[in-house]
Amino acid sequence: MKKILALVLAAVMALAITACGKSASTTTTTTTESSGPVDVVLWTYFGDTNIGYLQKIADEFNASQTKYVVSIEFQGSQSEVNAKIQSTAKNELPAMFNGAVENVATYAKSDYCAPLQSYITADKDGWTQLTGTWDAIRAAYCDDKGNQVGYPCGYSYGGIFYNADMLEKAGIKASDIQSFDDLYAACEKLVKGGYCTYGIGFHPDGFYFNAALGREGIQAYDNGNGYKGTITKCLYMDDAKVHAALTTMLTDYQKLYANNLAIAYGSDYQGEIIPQLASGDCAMMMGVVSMTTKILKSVDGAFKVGIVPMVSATESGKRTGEPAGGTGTFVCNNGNTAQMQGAYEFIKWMSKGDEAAYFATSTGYLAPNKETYDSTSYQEYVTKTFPAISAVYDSLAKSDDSANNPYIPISNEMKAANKLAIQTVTGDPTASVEDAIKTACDSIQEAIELYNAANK
Amino acid sequence: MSRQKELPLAKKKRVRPLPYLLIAPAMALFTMFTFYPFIRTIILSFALTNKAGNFSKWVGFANWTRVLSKASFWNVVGITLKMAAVNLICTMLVAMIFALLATKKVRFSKVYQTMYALPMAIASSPAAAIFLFIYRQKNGLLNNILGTNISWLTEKPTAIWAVCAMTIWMHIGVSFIFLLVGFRNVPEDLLESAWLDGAGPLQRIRHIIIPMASPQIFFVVFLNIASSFKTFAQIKLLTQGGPANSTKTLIYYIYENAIINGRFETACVQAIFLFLLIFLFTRIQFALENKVVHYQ
Amino acid sequence: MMTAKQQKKVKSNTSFIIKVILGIIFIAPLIIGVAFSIQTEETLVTYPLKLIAENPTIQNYVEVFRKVPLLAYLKNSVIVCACAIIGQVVFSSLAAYAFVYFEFPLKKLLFTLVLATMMIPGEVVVITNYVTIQNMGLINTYMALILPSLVSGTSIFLMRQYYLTLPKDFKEAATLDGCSDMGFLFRIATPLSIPTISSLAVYLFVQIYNQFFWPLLVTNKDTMRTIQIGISFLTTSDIISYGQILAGAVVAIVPSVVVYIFGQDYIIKGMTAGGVKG
Repeated sequence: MKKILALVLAAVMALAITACGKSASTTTTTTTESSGPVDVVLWTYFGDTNIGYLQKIADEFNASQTKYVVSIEFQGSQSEVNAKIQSTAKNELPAMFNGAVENVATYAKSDYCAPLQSYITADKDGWTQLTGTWDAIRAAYCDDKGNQVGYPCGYSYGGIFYNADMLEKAGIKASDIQSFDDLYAACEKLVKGGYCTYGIGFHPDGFYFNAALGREGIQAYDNGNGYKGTITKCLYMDDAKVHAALTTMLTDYQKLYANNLAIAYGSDYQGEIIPQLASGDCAMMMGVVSMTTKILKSVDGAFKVGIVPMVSATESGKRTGEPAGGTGTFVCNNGNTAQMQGAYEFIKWMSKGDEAAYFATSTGYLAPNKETYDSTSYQEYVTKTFPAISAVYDSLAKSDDSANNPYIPISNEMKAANKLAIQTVTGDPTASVEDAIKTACDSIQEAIELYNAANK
Repeated sequence: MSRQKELPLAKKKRVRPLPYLLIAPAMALFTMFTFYPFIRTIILSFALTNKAGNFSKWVGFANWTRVLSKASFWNVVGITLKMAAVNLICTMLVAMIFALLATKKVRFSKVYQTMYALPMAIASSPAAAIFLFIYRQKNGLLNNILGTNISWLTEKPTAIWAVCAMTIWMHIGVSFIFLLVGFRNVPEDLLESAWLDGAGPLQRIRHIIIPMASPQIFFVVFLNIASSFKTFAQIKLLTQGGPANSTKTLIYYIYENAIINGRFETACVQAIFLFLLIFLFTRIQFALENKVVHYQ
Repeated sequence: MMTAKQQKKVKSNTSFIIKVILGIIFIAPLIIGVAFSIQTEETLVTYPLKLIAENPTIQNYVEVFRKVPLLAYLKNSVIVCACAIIGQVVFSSLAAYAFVYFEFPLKKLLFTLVLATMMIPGEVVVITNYVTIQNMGLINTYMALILPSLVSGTSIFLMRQYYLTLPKDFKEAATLDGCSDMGFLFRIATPLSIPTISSLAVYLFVQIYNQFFWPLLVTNKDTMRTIQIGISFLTTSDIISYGQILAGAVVAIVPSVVVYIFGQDYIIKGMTAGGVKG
C-alpha cells in the first residue's frame, strides 16, 4: 500500500516538476499601467507569407512609437480561429484578431469583439483613411445600425481571371462576360474551338454563390438582407426573382459539368486550377483578387492575365453592387483597455497609404481606400504589374450599395448549404436543380430559426 | 472523484480499499476530462446553445426530433456504417495476413516486419500531405501511373474509396503489431506437435494460432471498431466531407457542427448517437467474447 | 535435380523475397514522400513524374526549417509524448491489475465506464476541456498538453487483456510464497508485461504525437506548440509548394519512425528473453 502511494506520488511529482519548470509565463491579466510598452497581440489565420508582410508593417508601427509593441500569432485556419476565440476566456483573449468579412454579424453580436465605432468616435485625431474608404467595403464592415465593427486588412473581391491571349485568339471579348449565361457560352466556344481542355475552374467556396446574387442586385433574405431587421426567412423559394436567378445560375453550372467544360468542382485551386491555368489547359478561373500574386507567379509572363468582375446570375442582373470579400481586423474585448487602444491604433496604422499599399501589392488584395490607391507603390502595381485590375476599380467607382452580404451570423452554414447545392448539380447531370435549391433553402432556413431561437 | 463507498457490514464481504486506490488516479482523470464533458454533452443535447457553446435555454427533446428526422442525418449514418465496415474488414484482413506471414522469425525477417507496421508511425498530417500528392488530378502520382486524369478526391464515386484506402493504410500497422505479439506468444511446442500430427499450415492457423491468440484478436477487433467509427483526420485533411457530402461521416458532421458552425447542441445530439452506435457494436462483440475467446 | 534441403532453401528464399516485396509495396507512400521531397518545384509540376530525381535538392528542407521552428516543435512534442506515455503506463497498469486480480463491488460497472471512454468522440469534449484548462489557468503550459492524455481506456483495456493471459497459478504460487499484492505487480507481472508495455508505448507515442486540435487550442505561443501545428501551417500557407509540404511531412515522420524502429527492437528483445511462454 505504501509502495503504490509512494510510486504514484513520485510519478505525479515528477510530472508536475517537468510541467511547471518549463511552462511559459502565464499571460498577465491586468489593466494596471506597466512600465514598459504594451504587448498587443494579433491572432490570425494567414499563412507564413502573408504573416511576413504583416510583420513588416507591425515592425514599422513598433518603430514609430514607444507605447505599443505588436506581434502576430498563427492560430489555425479560419474556422479554427473562430472556434478558439469563441471559447476563450476574456482575460486570455488577444488584443485583436483577423476575421472574414462575411462573419461581421457574428462578431458584432458577440462578447469577444469590441466594435471600432467607439474608438473612432473618441478619436480626436480622426481617421482620414476611413472616409476615403470605398463605400462598398466600408459598409460591409458595419453592423446593421451603421456602426463600424472592423476594418479590412485584405480587401478581396470575386472575379474571373482569364488568359487574355487565349480569349483574344478565340475572338471572345472578356468584358462581354457579364452573367453566368455569358460564361457558359464563352466556355463552350473555347473548348469546342480546341483552345483549351477546360473553359474554367472554380474556387470551391460558397462565397461566390452570394456574390453572384449580389451582382444581380437582389436580396436573398428578408428584412433588407438583415440591415432593416433580424433575418427570419431565406427567400430562395418564395421570391420569384431570387428563385429565377438561382435556377439560371445552377443550370449553367450543371451544363458546364455535364459537357465537361470545367475542372472538377472541389479541386484545390492552388494545386489544380492555377497550374492548369498557367499551362494553358484551362482558360479561366473564378477566384478572388487575393490570388493574383500566386497566379502571376505561376504564369510567369507566359501570357497576359486579365480579370473581369464577378458575373451576375442572369443577364438582367444590375451589376452595380460590389460584393466584398476578404479579411478584416477586429478588436478583441479582452478587458485590457491599453491593449485594445493599441489594437485600434495599429488598425489605423495599417490603413495608411504606404502600409496598405505594401500589403496589397505583395498579395493582390485591393487597395481599401483612396490614399492607398493613389500611393506611388500601388500606382506602379496598377500600371506595370497587373494593369487588368483597373477593370475592377472602374467597376468599384461606379458601384452602389445594392450588393451587400446578408447581415447574418450563420454565414458558415449558409456557405456550406450553397456550396452543397453547386456540388449536387455539378456532380450529377441529371440532378434536379429545383431540389438542390429547395434543399439549400431548407438547411439555411433551419439554421436561421435555430439561431434566432437560441439567441433571443 | 468516483471513489466508491465501502459496503455495509451486512454484506459480510470484506471490501478492501486497495483495488479502488489502484483505479483512483485513472478514474479521477477520466472524470475530469471525459465523463464531466460527456455529461455536459448529454445535458446540452436537451437545450439550445449560443455561439460560445454555452447553455441558452431548455428545449426538451426538440433537438433530438429535429436531428433524427432529417434524411441528411441518416445519409451520414449510412456512410459512417459503410466506411466503418470497409475499414474494419480490410484492416483486420490485411493485418492478420501480415501478422501470419511475419510470425515465424527467420534471418532478416525484421526487414519486412518493420515495413508492415511502419505506416502506423506516420501521423495523419504528413500522411495526408503525401496522399494529396498521390491523388492530385493534375500531375498527381496515381494519374501518372495509371495514365488517367481522374480527380480522385473530388469526384463522387472515387472519393470515398480514396479516403478508405488512406485510412486502412494507416490503421493496419497498429493492428499488425498487436496481432504479431499475440501470434508469437503461441507456444512453439503446440505448433510442433500439430505439425507432427500432419496438420497443414491452414489448419494450424485455424485450430491453434487463432484460438490461442484470441484475447489479442479480440482486443484488436475492439480497437478497430472504435477507431473505424471515429476516423476523422483523413476526412478533414482530404475531402472535408465532400464531394456533396459523400464522405461525410458522423464524426466529421459532429466536428462541423461544433467547431465550424457553432451549433453545439446539434453536435451533442450527434455525439451521443455516435457513442450509442459504437456502444451497440462493442456490446455485440463482448457478448460473443465468451464464445470465441480462449483464456488460459 | 535439387536435394530436399536445397528445395527447402529455395522455398524459404522465395517466400522471403515475396514478403519483402509486399512490404515495399506497402510502404510505397513513404518512399514517395521522401523521393519527391528532394525534387524541385518545376519537376513536380511537369509531366511525367519521375521517382528518381534528376537534380536532387535539399532546398525544400532548408525552406521548411526557415519557415517553421520545427526543432522547437519537435522538442515540445517529444516532451509531451514522454510524460504522457509514462503516465499512461503507470496509471493503466495499476487500474488493469485491479480489474484482473481483484473482485470488488461495482467492478463490472467501473470497467464498462473505462471502455465507454474509448467510445466517446473527442470532438465534443474538446471545447469543454479547453474551458476547464482555462479555468485552471494552465494555458500555454506543458501540463495543459499532457493532462488529458495521462490515461486512456485503450491502455487499461490492453493491459487487462495482457494480464488475463498470465496463468492464474502464477499469482497463487506467489501468494503462497508470501508475496504481497503490490509485490506481485512490481516484481512479477510488470517485468513480464514489458513487450506489451513496449507496444503500448509505441502506439501511444504515435497517437499523442498526432494530436493537432488540442495543442492548437491550449497554446497560443510559438514556443509551446507541437509538430502537427507546424506541418499544418505549411499546408495552409499562402503559397503552396508541394515539395516543401512533402519535406515538412518527412521531417515530421522521422522521429516517430525512429521511435517505432527502436521500440520494435525492444519488443523483440523482450520476447526472446523468454518473456512470455504458455
